[in-house]
Amino acid sequence: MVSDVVIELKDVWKIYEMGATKTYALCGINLKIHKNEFVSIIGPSGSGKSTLMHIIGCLDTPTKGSVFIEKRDVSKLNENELAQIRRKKIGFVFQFFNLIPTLTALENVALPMRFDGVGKKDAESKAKTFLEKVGLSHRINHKPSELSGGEQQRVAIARALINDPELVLADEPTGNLDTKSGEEVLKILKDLHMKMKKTVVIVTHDPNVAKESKRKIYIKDGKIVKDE
Amino acid sequence: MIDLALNDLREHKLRTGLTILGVIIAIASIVSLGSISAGMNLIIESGMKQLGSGMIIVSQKTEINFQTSTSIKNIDESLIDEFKQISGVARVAPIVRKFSQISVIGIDPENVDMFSLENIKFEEGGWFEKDQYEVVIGKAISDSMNLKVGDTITIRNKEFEVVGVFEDTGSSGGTGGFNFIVAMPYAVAQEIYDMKGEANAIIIKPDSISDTKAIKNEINERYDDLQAMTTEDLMKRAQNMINRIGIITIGIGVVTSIVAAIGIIITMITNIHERKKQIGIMKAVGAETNTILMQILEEGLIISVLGGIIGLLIGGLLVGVVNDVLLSNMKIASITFGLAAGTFFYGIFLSVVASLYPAWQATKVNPVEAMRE
Repeated sequence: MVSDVVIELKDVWKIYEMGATKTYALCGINLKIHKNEFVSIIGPSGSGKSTLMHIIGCLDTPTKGSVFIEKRDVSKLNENELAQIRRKKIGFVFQFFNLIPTLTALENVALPMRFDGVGKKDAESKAKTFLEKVGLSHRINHKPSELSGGEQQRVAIARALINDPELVLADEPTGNLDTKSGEEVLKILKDLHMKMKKTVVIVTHDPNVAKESKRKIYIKDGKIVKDE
Repeated sequence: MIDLALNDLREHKLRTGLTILGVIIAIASIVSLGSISAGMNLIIESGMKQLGSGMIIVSQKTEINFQTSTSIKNIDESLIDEFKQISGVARVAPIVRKFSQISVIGIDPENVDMFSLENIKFEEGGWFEKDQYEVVIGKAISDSMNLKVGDTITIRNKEFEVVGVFEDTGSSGGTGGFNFIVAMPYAVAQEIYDMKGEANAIIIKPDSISDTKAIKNEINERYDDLQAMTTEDLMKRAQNMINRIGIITIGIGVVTSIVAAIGIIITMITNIHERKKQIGIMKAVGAETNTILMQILEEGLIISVLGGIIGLLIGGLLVGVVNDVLLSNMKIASITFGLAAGTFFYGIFLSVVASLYPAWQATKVNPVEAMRE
């Protein structure tokens, strides 16, 4: 049974102003996501789902309204405080993997730990175990350009998990993968929810991905239109 | 996380190499020019030491003392008797003095006590006899030309016997007062330099040091074409020359280091522009402002330390080449610890300052916008 609230959005607005033109990306979003939920945020392109994920992930701040991560209001925090929350509380999985091309798989996974002040040796030792968990123990010294899309996404998942975050945010995690790799990545995300008891939020426009989640939030024109 | 900074620099080898080259040129030029300047300081100071204090040097007005030139007018020897009549004058001694890579001084043995030459010790031998083709040489000349007492040295197609070698008077880098001197009898120097009846300068020793200024003024008032200067005046003039050399050295150093700093700024800004997405990713996965700032500064630091070390080594080689090839192994230019350390840390300071703006730019990268690129 879900109980503790991990994410709470209260009347969140995101408005982009370009000269006299105002674009409403999010319009008064109210949302609660509980611990160990597996949630899909679904919507067409331009619906505001990525903006919502950036705000939930502390990558962006709302124009109006409040965002709480584990009951802490993060909407007024400064850049460094937001970076700390991203590092400790949130793991990101992006559509285009967003690995650093000059670093090996091992170095990429170790990065959030290094940013947390952990030494290279310890961070890479832990990174190695996470790469083993996602089945990439034989690819640790390869750079992203030497890995397939599926492998890169698994490296990104290992990186997302290295600091043991409560929340994993995945933005179109299978959007850039072939069917087989997509299924593998989705299975890993489901395992995170089932076995590791992580809260997983997937942003997607793919109904096949969304159907794997227990809760589906539909967003359109910056508003939640259905939550089931 | 210096390994990450190193990793990024390695990824752009050519660009990093060219930036380091800029730092190398700046450091090498400052060190080599600075060492020559420092060496010249010592030579000028040693020249002053040879004259001693409280003396008056009279020369033709066109002559600039301590400057090598064959067009300098000589002074008429007949003036010696006139100077002896001036009130307060104790002794008068003409000298022949020629500068090139070595400095030749023509002086009579009975006058050496007028200069600080009388206190100098000999490693071997002693002073020459009047009017003989004999010389006393400095230690540096003895060493570099492998000359001992009893050997002969040819100067202006005349053979001279070496009758004495001064002790090493060098203190810093072997550029002591008498190390580069060849001293010979006055009349012989006049002969080989075709200066019959003429001298390069006339040195006057007053009865009392308090008479020095009055004697100088009287000569300057009485003889329009002559210039009398005290050793203190010369010291001031030498100091001005030292200062000018210093300003030129600093100027060249500042220009080259500014060019190097601009190179660092351009490299870093280009680097950050290209790595905007990477910086965005780093911020997205939790890098704080200081982490980004430090990484960029570390890159600047690596460039400056590498450039500094190589620059010092090349500067050292240049100094060696100047000493060995251009100055015939006389070790005039010398790198002091202070010069090397000062230049090295100046290079580091400059690189870190040059990296500040690009580093600040990197901290302003918006992760969401950067990852979209």
